[in-house]
Amino acid sequence: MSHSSVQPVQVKGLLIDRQRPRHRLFSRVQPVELVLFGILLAFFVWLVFPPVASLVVKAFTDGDTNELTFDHFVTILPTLVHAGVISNTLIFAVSASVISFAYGSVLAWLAERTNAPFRRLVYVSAFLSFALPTVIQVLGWVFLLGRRQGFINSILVTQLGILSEPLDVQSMGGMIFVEAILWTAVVFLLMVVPFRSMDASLEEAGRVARGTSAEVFLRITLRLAMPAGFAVFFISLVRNLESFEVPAILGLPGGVNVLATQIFVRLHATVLPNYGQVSAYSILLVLIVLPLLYAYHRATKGQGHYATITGKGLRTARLDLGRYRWAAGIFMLTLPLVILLPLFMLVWVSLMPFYRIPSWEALGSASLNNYYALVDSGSRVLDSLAATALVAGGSATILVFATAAACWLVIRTRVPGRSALEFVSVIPLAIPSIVLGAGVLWAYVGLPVPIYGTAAILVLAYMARSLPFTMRSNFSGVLSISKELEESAFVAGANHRELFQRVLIPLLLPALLTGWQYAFLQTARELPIALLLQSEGNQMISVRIWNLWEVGQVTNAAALSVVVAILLGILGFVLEGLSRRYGIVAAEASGRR
Amino acid sequence: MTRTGESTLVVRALNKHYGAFHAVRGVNFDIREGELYTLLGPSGCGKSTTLRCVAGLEHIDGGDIAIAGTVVDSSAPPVFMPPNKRDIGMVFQNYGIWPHMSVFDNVAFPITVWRSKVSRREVVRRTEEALAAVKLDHLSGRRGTELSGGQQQRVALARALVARPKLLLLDEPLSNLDATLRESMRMELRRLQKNVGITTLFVTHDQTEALSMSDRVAVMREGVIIQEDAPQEIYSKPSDLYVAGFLGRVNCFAAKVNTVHRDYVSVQVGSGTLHARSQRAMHEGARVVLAVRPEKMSLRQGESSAVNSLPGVVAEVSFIGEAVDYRLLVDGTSVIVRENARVIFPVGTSVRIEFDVDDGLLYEDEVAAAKVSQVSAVDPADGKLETPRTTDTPTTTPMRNQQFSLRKTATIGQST
Repeated sequence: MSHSSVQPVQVKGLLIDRQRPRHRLFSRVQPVELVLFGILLAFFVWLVFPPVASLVVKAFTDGDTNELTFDHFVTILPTLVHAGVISNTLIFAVSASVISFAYGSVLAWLAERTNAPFRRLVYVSAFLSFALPTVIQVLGWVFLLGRRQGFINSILVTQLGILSEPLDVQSMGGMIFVEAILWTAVVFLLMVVPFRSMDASLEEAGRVARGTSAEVFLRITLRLAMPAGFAVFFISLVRNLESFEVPAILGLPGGVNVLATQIFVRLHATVLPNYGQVSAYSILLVLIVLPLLYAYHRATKGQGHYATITGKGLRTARLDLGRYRWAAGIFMLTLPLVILLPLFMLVWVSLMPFYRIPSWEALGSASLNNYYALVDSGSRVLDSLAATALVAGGSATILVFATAAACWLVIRTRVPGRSALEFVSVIPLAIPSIVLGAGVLWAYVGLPVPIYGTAAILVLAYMARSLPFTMRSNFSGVLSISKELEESAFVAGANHRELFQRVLIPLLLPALLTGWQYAFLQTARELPIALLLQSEGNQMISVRIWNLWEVGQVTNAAALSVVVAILLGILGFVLEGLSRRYGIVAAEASGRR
Repeated sequence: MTRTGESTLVVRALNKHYGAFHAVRGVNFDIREGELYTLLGPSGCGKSTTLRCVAGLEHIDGGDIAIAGTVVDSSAPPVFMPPNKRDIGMVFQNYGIWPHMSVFDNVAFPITVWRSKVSRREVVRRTEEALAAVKLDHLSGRRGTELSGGQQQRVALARALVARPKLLLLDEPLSNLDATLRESMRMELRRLQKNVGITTLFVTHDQTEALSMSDRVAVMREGVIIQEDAPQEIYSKPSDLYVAGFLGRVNCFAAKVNTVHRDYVSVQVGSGTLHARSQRAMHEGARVVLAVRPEKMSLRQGESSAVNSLPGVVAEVSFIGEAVDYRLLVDGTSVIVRENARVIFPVGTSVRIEFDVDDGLLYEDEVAAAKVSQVSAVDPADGKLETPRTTDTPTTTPMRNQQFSLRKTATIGQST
């Protein structure tokens, strides 16, 4: 089948460095390691295989006769080309990626390598944007830039006397703009890392070796950040190709269709969905994403050459921008502005009895009624909050420990076939959210075991989704712990359980916290999986906001968004603080600086 | 403008603060053309900061710096010339080899910058010449990260020299190499520096490097240059106990001046009398410290006819191949002696410890004199005999040295 002939070859490239004998703990495989390996492999396969298999089967079989067929592809291709779905998807994703990459990288460079002001503010607002559900931020933009009710449009019309509303966020341009801003925050957070870890003496050497500031930036700083830059660019391109929230909220009403929304529309909005065609769409999206992931892998593989942290004599001298410092400061302020503006708009709308454009006159009608209504409308909002906490917290916790054990097996032991754990864990990277949701849905919907319709199905889907990242975070975590620390535990008489409890887990704490934080926030802010797998009593908070918006309860949606933004914002920063604090302690313990 | 004369580097009243920390406090020195001048001191003494100020990587808070007659830094009137215009070459402690470039491109960088007017052919010729000078011409196509530490160091050196700068700055260039490589690089670096004839400012915390490579050495402490002299001079006539201790191990005896005859001083150490030469005027009755380096002392069995002779018993013997380190007890106090390995005295042997009058160094030390009036011997390594090693890296830290006379010491003779 095409699944098995395409995926392994492409995805295998994503595995991380196979040659590391110096990390092995024992020369022989221990029985307890074999048992652990068996359990973990079964678990990973259980997470990943059913959705993938059901998609592939559905895409290539006839729904009535159960025979092998390519009809689904033959049917959808002309429509896709005719309606411009594929070109829309590409234009949207590539434009948003290019803009966010340029914008975010320059900000990261300014924040880490120069003395530009407002560094802290940019960092905080970027992190806030990363922690908040995309739905919330997109709604904020509708209030700001919507054609009819947009605040900025109304200002342009009333104040400047322009006759028709000039801006429309519900268009291709608007979609690219909003998606680019959302991703700028992420690109910024990712690009800060290579710029921060860069050894300043490499730049200083360039200045002493007669290079001007501009020359040193172009010939040294930029080149050193390049491998990391490629990786960030490709991963953002992948995520933008599968982006759902922005195309759904802005594109669907505006008539701009992309692959991800087509899958949703065909699955959700019709009475009798054609599963075969939906699967064909999904496979198409996966096929577009795969080569990009391969490029991403190639980019990250080269990073070993550029290991720039030297520890000794590491200085972080910042470039003095001189008279351009305040120009750079104004540029830095643009990101907090575009992140906070939609949130202020949400606060405003949440205080109104019905949607009104901000004005002194409207301020008189401000009240907290929408917030009371959230609690009044039964306990359903509270149910959603509880479901979100349960699903996100549960999936993150299970996953973090399972992947830690898996990484330990892959790095430290000689269990035959251990790299299968790595291989299985990277597959979800290639599966867009909406596709994964559909796959999980079909895999469990017909089963006699009651998984569909419970929170368990959400936990399963989100564990599959967060698997690649937590694996990666723990992988570098285990690699950074010197083998001797574990060997001395064994020599001191510890067994495997004691090794994990008393040595490995404490040392891994920063990696575990990072993985948990990422998995939790990604799950809590995610929409497409939550939409497809929702059931009565198991509606995630992003679904609740979406539903309120869909039925036109705009002010209630805004109020709920504000509550969620506050809760997740606080939680995000607490987690960030925790992983920083324990990160330092554990990094010292493992002998790194 | 600062008068420079024939000095390639002139530093006057240099001051540098990091917040409340006063890192460099009014440092003055000149480096003559073709000279290798070393700033020696423990970490945090301000030596690297001084070098970074000369390079233009730090902005100074006070003073002047002139390179080859051109003022590159001045506090009044404010002058600051950026590093790329200073006509210098520099080797960083971690070499700063750019990992994304080949060895050739690393070395060629200073003559391929926009400002440089060197033709492409000339660039190739000079880069190959520089690589040949450091014996790396066969590796020019390699990536910077594919080299060993010693090779990276050579690349850094070639890069620093390729543009033929007026001044070469070396920031602890040997500290990241292993011991044997460090020794051979030391000699090679010195040879190359003399061949090229380049004026060099060298910063290190290793006294062996400083003594073996330099034309002149300046010992720094807490942001100040304490003493500046040629290596042999500074080693044999350290101006104070700090310098003496930083340049090598030293035995210290609390003493009292008996008689002074010009520079010939006789002192009372416990019950015995010892003799030394003093560079400073001493007055009779003053409490002083007599310092003698372990290798300046020798051991003899039986009667001694030497001017300076102390009775002692061998307590520990440490054979290190080229020499023997003894710890002796002189009435309960440790004295360290380094002897050649011709005869080895076993533990328990009674011997006479002898040293030349010219090898006894006398220092006034009020603290020592007040606290201890008896013989005290100080081994820098906390009174224990050092484990065998081939080089005499200083285990002495200034703090230890200052505390030498305050530490609980055994005494000989009666208490006064």
